[in-house]
Amino acid sequence: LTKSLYERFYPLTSTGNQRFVANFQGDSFNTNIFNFRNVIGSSGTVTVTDEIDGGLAITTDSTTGSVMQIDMNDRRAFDPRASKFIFVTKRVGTSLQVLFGLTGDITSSLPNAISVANDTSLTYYSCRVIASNTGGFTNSDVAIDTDWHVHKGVCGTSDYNQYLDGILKITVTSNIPTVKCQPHVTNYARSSGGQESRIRYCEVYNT
Amino acid sequence: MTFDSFYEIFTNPTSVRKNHFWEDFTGSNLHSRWNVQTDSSSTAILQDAEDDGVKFTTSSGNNDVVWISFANKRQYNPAGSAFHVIYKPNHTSLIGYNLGLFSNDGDPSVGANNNNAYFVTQNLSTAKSRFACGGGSITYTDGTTTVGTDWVYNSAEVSSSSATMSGVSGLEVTQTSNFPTSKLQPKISFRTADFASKSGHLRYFEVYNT
Repeated sequence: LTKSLYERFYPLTSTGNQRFVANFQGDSFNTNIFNFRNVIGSSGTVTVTDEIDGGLAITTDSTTGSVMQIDMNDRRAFDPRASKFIFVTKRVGTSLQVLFGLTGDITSSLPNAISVANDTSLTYYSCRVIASNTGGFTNSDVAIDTDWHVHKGVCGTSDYNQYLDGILKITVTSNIPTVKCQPHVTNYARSSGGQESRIRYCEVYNT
Repeated sequence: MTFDSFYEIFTNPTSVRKNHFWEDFTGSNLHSRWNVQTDSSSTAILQDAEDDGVKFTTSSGNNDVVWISFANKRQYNPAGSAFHVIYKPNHTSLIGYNLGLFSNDGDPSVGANNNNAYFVTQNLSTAKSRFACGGGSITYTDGTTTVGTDWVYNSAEVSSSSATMSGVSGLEVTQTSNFPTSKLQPKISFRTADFASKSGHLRYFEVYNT
């Protein structure tokens, strides 16, 4: 039995790397850790839900093309070539691209990022790996849905592996970004009406 | 044994994790995730003392109370959840200290606001822990943990067919009917039943859906 949480992750002979966990619990969204921004649009919302296992609701502005995002306001402590991330999320909106994972930028184009994608314009869960605006989407063989799933990304020096519910689904070996990154969830509304996604767990750590 | 992630300490990576939250009550101020309410000028303040957690201190009016909750953000399952608490009353009489999961975040000195809940409290006449659990009304059952002015550990769990309370010696109470029926949130309240200021401490609270 170990005496410390530290020893659950690291031998005492090693120096642990940056690690972050968010449970999205409480009376309101904690803006001391995550920043939320209407990247495009003005009335998107972030709300802790009053629902069993409901997590945090992120909803875009009501106009087509609006983008609502949570991020760390460019406090980028994570290495896209030596880190892992775990998100428990679901898509609610019926015309929505949800991207979540690591990004080096907070702009709407996310030019340097490794993200899981649940996009209603695609048939399957996918990943978006992009460096300096070069790269794109790679599909898995799992059809998108609106259920809760656990998504894990393993970012290495020359490859990125993406797991869905514990099973490896995608490997990408090109366009891995090199810039320091932060966690993000980005909703892009493909139609009007306010498009929502949920998140109830986020863990990111350098390896 | 070491783990790759927090996630994998508690959940198989092939399973989707349910809500799980814990609070150590350490820092410069009570975390903003807690909504602090009081019917007077009672307080909930983190302490400058070893292992002392947060201290609830009431004003000196009879039934003055302070409580912390999630402001009706109720993400916990009345038919499948559990919690653990470490707490300490500073008095052995004329107090009410309730710790657990509640549907209603209203003033806990109003009895109806404690319905649809399960929580740990005390039988002050016997100095024992007491389990409280129910839907439209609450069933109270005494436990065996001695509650004086020392630190106490208790846990409780509900399923669709039973509710239990445990302490450091193991299972203390099993209840087989009258369970909460509405979604729940953490709520901890401390009340004086006297015309005098009273206080108690809390240094750990953990809750999760099962």
